[in-house]
Amino acid sequence: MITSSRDRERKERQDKRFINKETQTSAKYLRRIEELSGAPSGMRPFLDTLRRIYVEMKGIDIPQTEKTIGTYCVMVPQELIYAAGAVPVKLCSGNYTAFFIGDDIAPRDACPLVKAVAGFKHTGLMPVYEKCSMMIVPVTCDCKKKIAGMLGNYCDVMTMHIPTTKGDDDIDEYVSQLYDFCARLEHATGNKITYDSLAEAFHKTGRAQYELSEFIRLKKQMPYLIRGTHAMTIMNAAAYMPAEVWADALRSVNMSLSIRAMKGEKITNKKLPRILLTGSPIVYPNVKIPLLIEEMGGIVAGDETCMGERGMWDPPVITDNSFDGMIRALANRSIRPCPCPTFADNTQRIYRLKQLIKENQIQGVIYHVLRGCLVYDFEYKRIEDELGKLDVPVIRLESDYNEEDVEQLRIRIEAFIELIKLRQPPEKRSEDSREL
Amino acid sequence: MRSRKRIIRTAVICIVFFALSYFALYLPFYKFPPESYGTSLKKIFSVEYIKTLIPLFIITGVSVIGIALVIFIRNKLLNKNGRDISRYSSRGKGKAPRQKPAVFMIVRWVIMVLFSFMMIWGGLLFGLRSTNISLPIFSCPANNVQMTETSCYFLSHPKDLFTELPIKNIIIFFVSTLLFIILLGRVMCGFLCPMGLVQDIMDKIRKKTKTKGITPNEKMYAAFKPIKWFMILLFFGIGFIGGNFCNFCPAITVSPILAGIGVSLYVSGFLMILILIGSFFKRRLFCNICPLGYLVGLFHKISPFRIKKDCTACTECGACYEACPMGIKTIYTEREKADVTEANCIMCGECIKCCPEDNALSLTCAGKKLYTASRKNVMSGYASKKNEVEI
Amino acid sequence: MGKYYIGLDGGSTYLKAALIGNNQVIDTMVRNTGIDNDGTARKLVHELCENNGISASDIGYIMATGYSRKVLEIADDDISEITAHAYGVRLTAPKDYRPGMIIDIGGQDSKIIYLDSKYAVKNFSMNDKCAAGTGKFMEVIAQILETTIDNVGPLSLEATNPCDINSTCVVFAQSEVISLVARKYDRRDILAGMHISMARRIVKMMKKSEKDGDILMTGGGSLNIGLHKAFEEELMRDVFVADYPQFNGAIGAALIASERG
Repeated sequence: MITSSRDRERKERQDKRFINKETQTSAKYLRRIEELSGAPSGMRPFLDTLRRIYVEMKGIDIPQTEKTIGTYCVMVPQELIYAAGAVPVKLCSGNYTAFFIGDDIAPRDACPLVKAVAGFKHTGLMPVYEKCSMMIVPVTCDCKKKIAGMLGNYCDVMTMHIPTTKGDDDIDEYVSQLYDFCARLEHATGNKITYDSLAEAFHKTGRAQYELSEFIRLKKQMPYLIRGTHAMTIMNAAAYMPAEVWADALRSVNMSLSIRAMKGEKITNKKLPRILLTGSPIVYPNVKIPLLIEEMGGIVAGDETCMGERGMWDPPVITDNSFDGMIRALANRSIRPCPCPTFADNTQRIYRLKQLIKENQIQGVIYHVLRGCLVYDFEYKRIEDELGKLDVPVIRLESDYNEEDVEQLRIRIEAFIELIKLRQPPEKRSEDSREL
Repeated sequence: MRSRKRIIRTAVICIVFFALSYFALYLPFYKFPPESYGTSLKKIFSVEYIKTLIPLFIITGVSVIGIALVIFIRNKLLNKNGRDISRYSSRGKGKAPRQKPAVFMIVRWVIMVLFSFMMIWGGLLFGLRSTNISLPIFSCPANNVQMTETSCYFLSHPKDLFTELPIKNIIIFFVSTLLFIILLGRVMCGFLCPMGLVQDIMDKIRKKTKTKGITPNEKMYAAFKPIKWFMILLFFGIGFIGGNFCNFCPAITVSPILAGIGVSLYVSGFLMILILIGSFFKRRLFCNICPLGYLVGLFHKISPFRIKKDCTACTECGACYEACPMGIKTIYTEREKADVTEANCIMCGECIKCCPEDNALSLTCAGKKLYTASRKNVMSGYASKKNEVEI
Repeated sequence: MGKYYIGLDGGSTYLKAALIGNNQVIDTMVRNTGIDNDGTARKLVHELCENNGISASDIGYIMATGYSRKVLEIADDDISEITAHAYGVRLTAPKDYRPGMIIDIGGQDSKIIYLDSKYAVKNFSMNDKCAAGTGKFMEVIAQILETTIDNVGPLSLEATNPCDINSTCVVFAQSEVISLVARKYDRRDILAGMHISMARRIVKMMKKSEKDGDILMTGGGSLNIGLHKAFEEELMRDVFVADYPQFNGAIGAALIASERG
């Protein structure tokens, strides 16, 4: 398409503008995360990873010889990718700049996440995307389905059919898809997935999962040892870090948190309203909502989003140590515990939310809906009703990948936090005002 | 259409079963001379004992061949379907992560092995015999030197119960059977039954060899159901129409012969081979169609042993369902009730072992927690050595 | 020792101020917001003092609320409009109102606030970015139909056959109304249609689970009798209108100020 040197020049300028804007917004949000008080020591590797990917615009930090496989959603078993000798990278994007590019490619009502992915792939400037040998797109919603087709023009793509129910047949079906996935991975990486390599991969991710369950155990503790935004940053960074590296980094965070717990330190002396964030994915750099919550004096005490706890909490449980048993464990883990709204009956999610509310003593729920993310929007009504019975206030925040609506969001979040504060028993309120 | 097919298939299986059991006497598997019925301490330490064990060797041998054949055929089929079978086996020393053995599981195995040992040789070696108390498990009473009586014979031969026994023994029989049913319930299946032990050993062997099993699903369990019903019918009814369940019962091949009693085997021998092969691929296959287990299960509501679930801790990950050898699905779908004990539950504790959520599942006895799920246990295979020290 | 408290409500269109003392509304005042929010607020405060003959030292506390609350430097503190409105109805609600729901129709946004029986905020919903269903919408339509916002309500009550207005966006609704005018529809019918469509949009925002208590209308929009009637028709129940509806937020802020001061 680029014919003359002038065209090339224009394209170059366009690219440069894109890179500038992209790095600027990413750096801005990174700075805001860094500026939040109470970060545990050991956060550095996670922030550095995000900086490396989005600000320095480099690929993920692995040896040149290793291949990366791009994945979307939480249903793609990372273990298989490690077993094939490659490194998985989650490509769900929250980038504003790429979103603007994608806006022209995808239809208006498509969700911004998909637009951002389309935008990145269209510009061809993002190393994380460009270095992928293959992309795995689980078809969890219509947008993901169409993006799979669109990505197919740029690179090798495998779609995975996600069942809409969780019956035995669906799991069996998914198991056979995982076998196909093995074959595709072997083709893409040139390595064979064997019993031994898969077992090894299980150990790799298992350790990360072990650290994660420790982390979440610490995170639940009262008073708070860590801010939710920092926790979300850690979870987000997992997308771009090999499991062992992430596990090591998380281990040092866990250590510093346990030291905090032992010393009785906490991030703040104030009684901050504890807020659960749920709904559409919140992907760096689109962390305006958690940042706003914490800047407005709340605390993100729990998150039920796919880049957060949902995606990683449930470990694969091997009930049968044959190769088939391991694959089944993966299929089972990917489908059954997942409260993704792609499933037709998702009552499970309500139970999960209630669980999180109880465990983290949540006082209010913020339901995040990305514009165009229909499946989440559908579930809002039901969740609102159910949580209404528990007398937990819920608010729906619709947002898009841009900064225009920050003020709108701020008003809502501020009012919501005020609402929670006023609901607290009066003696606590006076304590609060004294600190003011 | 599909359901009609299934009905026909079930009917055919039932008819075959019926014919097999009714005409069992005409289908000998291994016949001992009549004089070899009887044993003594001397016999089991002599060469003659090995001669008595011959049918067991045959059964084991044929089962091994059968298993090998099944694997071979399956691999052929898989290859035809384009699945790479080479990855099924582990050539190196790669090990799938395993959690550290739980105390509960060790206790279960020890009890299972010890009890079976005592049931088979206990009477002979240690002279422990209290023959009147009956346990409703499949430890064959044809082994007339076993530690204690089992209820299966008189339950399947009600005629003999009332004609052969004095009234006192009848009362002891009923009272002890009922008492065990109520007190222990299907804990007996998971902890005491020698038939269960045999099946669990087959499963252990499969896991050791990392062989792919048959993954059960609801359809399979649905298919078991009519067979189970038919087995119950056979078990309680065949005595009335002139058959003998013992000639058909696979349990007869284990205990008496090991005790050195030359019991002639009829259809039981063939059936045992099937069950050994079956339980190699599907854990506790026979328990799913066991008539005695069904009887015990009827009283599950009043048994003190319960599987408790904390529904607020569950994430519906389905690991318990995957692990359950009896295919109990409610254990993972239940979100309201705290008690998930089912008639089919054999209290083997597999679900609790696999449950990754703290306190989500627990096995209780009269309200006391015996075994509780914990993430730490499930993840114990992943923790690096350093972590353990720290915690 | 101050015994007077002032609440300032810096809305998108108007800046409202309320003076209360002894838990009673003494005076209210409204101004166009203009570009100098803080300056307008200062003027308002001065005028309020002058009109009621009190000196600045009598004022115990000034609380700001509304969009521009952060820039009103004259205020001692600020509070979100949700909380302010919830407080305001304690003074402005009619006597027999059982607290349940407040519908606030402001200049550029409308919100629904759910109260428990003790006037504490249980939950709230707000309209999204779009201005349909707000005072601005009414103003735009009134302009097209060559009437003033004060006449909109009474005029619409004379309608015989209300039109359908379906657009969810002010700009599109504007063109829809223009096309209705071009088709020679009666402007009273158009106005009635507009009220129904506004009411419907706001009713859609309501949480179906919150049914306890009565409904109270506040905000400038509730001065419009047409909209009030449309709400009653849509909801099939009585809708109360607050006293000083326009100043509900300011009164609420003043009440909070009186608690603080």
